[in-house]
Amino acid sequence: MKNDSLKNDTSNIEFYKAGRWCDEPKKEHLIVLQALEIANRTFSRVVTVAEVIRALLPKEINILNEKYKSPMTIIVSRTLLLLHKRGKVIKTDKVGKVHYYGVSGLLNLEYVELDDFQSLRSKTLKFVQEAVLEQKRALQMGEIIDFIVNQKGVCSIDLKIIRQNVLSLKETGELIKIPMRGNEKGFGVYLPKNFDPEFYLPTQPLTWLEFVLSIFNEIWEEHKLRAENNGAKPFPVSIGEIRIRIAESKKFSEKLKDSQILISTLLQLAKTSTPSIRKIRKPCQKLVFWLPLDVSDNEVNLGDFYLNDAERIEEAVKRTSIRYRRPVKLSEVKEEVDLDAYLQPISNVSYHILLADLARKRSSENGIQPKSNRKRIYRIGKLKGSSYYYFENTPEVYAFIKFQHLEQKWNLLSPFEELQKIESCILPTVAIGRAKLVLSEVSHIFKDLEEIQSLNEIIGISKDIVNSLSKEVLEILLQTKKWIKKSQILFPDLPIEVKTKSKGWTTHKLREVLTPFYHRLSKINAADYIQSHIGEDIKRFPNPNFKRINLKEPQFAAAYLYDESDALIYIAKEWGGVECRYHATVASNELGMLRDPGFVIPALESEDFNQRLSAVSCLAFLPCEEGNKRLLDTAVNDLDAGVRQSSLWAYGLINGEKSIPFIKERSLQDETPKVRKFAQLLIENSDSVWIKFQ
Amino acid sequence: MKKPTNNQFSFPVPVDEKVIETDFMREVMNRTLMVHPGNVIWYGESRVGKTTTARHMVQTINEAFDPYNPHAFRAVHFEVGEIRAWTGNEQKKGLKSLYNSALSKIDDGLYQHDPSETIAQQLIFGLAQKNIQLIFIDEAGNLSLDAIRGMLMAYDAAKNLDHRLSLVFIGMDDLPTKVLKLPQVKGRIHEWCYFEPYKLDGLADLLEKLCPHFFAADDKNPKIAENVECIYELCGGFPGLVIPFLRKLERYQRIDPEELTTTYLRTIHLRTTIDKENAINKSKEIHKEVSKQKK
Repeated sequence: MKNDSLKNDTSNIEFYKAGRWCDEPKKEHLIVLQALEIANRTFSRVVTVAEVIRALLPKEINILNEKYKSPMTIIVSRTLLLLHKRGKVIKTDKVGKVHYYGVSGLLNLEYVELDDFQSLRSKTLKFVQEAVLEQKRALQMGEIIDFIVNQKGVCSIDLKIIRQNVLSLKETGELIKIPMRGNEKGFGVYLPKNFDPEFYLPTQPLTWLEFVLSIFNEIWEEHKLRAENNGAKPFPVSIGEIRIRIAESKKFSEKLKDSQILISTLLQLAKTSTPSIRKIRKPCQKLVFWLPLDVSDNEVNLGDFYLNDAERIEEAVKRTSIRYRRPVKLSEVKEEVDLDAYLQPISNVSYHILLADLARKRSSENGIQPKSNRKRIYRIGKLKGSSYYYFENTPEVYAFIKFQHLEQKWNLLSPFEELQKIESCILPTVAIGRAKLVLSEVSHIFKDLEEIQSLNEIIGISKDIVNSLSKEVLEILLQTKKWIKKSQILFPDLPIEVKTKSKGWTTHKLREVLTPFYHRLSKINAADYIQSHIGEDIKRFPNPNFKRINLKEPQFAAAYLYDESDALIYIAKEWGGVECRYHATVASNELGMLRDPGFVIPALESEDFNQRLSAVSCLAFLPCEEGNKRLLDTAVNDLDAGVRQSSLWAYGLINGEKSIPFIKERSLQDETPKVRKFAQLLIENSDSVWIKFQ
Repeated sequence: MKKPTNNQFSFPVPVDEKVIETDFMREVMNRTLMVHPGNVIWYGESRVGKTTTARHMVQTINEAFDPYNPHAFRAVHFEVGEIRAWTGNEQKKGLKSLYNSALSKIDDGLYQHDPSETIAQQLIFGLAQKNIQLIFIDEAGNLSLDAIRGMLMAYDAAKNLDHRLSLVFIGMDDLPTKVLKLPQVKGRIHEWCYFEPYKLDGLADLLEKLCPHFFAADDKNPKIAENVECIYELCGGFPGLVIPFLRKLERYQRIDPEELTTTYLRTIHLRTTIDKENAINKSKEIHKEVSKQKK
């Protein structure tokens, strides 16, 4: 709406000389006039009676109702008519069913835009013309409806109305219907009357049935040609061949999801009143093949298509790979074999052995090369316990497995959720540390994805999916980098890189620490108990020093180590007292998987007592030399009594009995009675107030 | 009067939120502190200023906090979510809500395995560490009676552990009648404050302090009184409705300054009302269609 529609306000409008109105305008008229002006200003255009009524205040409506005993629409429309006669109000011609009104002198009529009242029927014809020009052929009813519904601004049109309009346009001759099959009432396509049917008639198969028939004919011609070249009779067409050809064409791919659909289609083609194909069975077998209607049994070869099981399985793998367009696993190959009689193995050897044998490169014995060293299929890799095979051996194929692994890693990482958790950290320095941890892991994934993207083609996955994941990863990467850069301005002294290595305990060490709390551990198999009862509560990471499982030294025999800080937090929550559990909860919420105290210690300098308190809780579970020193200092010098008290506790937790002299000193010298009392309590109950991890 | 259009895009200039401390607000704050440690209910209609008063009080207390003053303490304000009656474990849920808002996320193990009294103890420990003695629980009308009882358990635990704690329940709905149903809860409410909408005089005073450039009292200019009355008609005496309206007014004036008249004020107000009604009518239409299709 152009703003020039409003000229000026009405404050200077002169009253028209017309009797009573000129001297003393009626209060009710002024109310309606003011409401009209408000409505004009609100909508920036001329308005209907209903819109004027909406601009009235409740007390104004009461005034009008008291004066006139008619419905409000009549009161307002009559008043507007009166004002129009007196030149106060402008009135448009009927548009649709209503008139529109505006205050004289307020609106420029030439700038008024009203709704487009073009009929739906003419719009439908216009859309059909556009759709035919776009597709360059006549269209079916369903295609017309799809086109219209996808146009912007028409999403609310009822599909039934579109259908009715098309049929109505056909009745009036504005659209012509060209029958494609059967008579006028059968399946056909629509074209605007001024379009040349010869030019716009569709040439390719439009329906699923026609498409399957065209594929069948194509394959049959190929069989005939091959047979002619070999001087033999042609083989009948198997359903597997049709399926693979449809998959390659990438049309109607949703129809292949259910194997029964193709079977039913072929049966339908064979059973209509004008069948195009017929079934044939091999003698003494249930398996079915297909032939054109005019070809007799004597004119075809019903023998074996392949030489041996290896060829059959190789063909099965190839077809399955083409159908799925990626490396395939054993169950999928089996499915393919079940669908095609030609591929059924004759021997009793399991598919697993057949596949493994085909995929294995035979090594030479005594320097003599085996006769056939041609690798027929390739084992690409393993995913979720299943091996995947393909008939080619290129980097593009291996990228499929690599991508799946990366995707899995990405999903486990859940960086978006991690970044959201980081936003709720109390300690900004810890948040930066956690963000850097995420950045490091995301960077590795991105680098691997870039390698995959550099390939021309990726078998099994569309480049769009890879690009989409790469885009998502890049987005998180950039978002994290940006966030770190912005946040780090306030903390320039933070470490540039975050330490990703953390201290770990073997099962042996964990058992040693847990046994004082859970004595049964000394009698049962600790590894089993720990795994079954603790599960994911204490995180594990791969042991960098791992050599072999059965070694005597536990630090080299453990494939995984338990994260030390996680273990301490777990023990504190499970068996600790009130203070212990409180600090353990704060530490686990804040730290996440961050184990670098370099990002926690700066928070001890914060002006916010909340942050200092949280930093103390975190340092209690990240024992280190620097942290220890800082806790000592905080316990003496912090302004807040709560922070000093917590520092005493944390120092005691880390240092155990060695902390007693210091705590004794604080029990006498701290300025707050509450803290002195707490220190005294610590000394009196040093065995039970905190857990000793020494 | 121009509608803001894409051609004239400009970001809204952030204005420092100014809280005008009225006499009524001051009175409510004093009455709340007088019963500390003790529990209070603040009740009133929506948009009448309860939350603003609470936030202002929290800010005042926290700004005045001095670690060397043994009587100083901190305050916290949060809005509680729904805890429906008969959903089970409502007392625990109430305590969990207090814990998460005043301290940090409660440990799942503590919440699931430990009884309510342990959670209350843990909560009071944390509050004592942080010296938090006043907690405002907003939208308390969402809470079931048991949830309120659970929160009052924290008050009892604080007494036992020698920590001074006051809970202020702020809300509308049926909060007062709900609280009266149980003597154990009713007996623990020590003060009641009822928030009423401003009358015309009070609103004129508020507008003069909020927007002196538009509404400074001037006997020579009758339009100001008319405009105040118009705003009173449109927004009632509810500060929560008046302030957003004033923000809109400021923005329109910045884009296209115009003399303030009642027509002008009503036009601004109508734009929102019309769109709101259109949205409601459209949603009713769609909802009707969906129900018809389901049938």
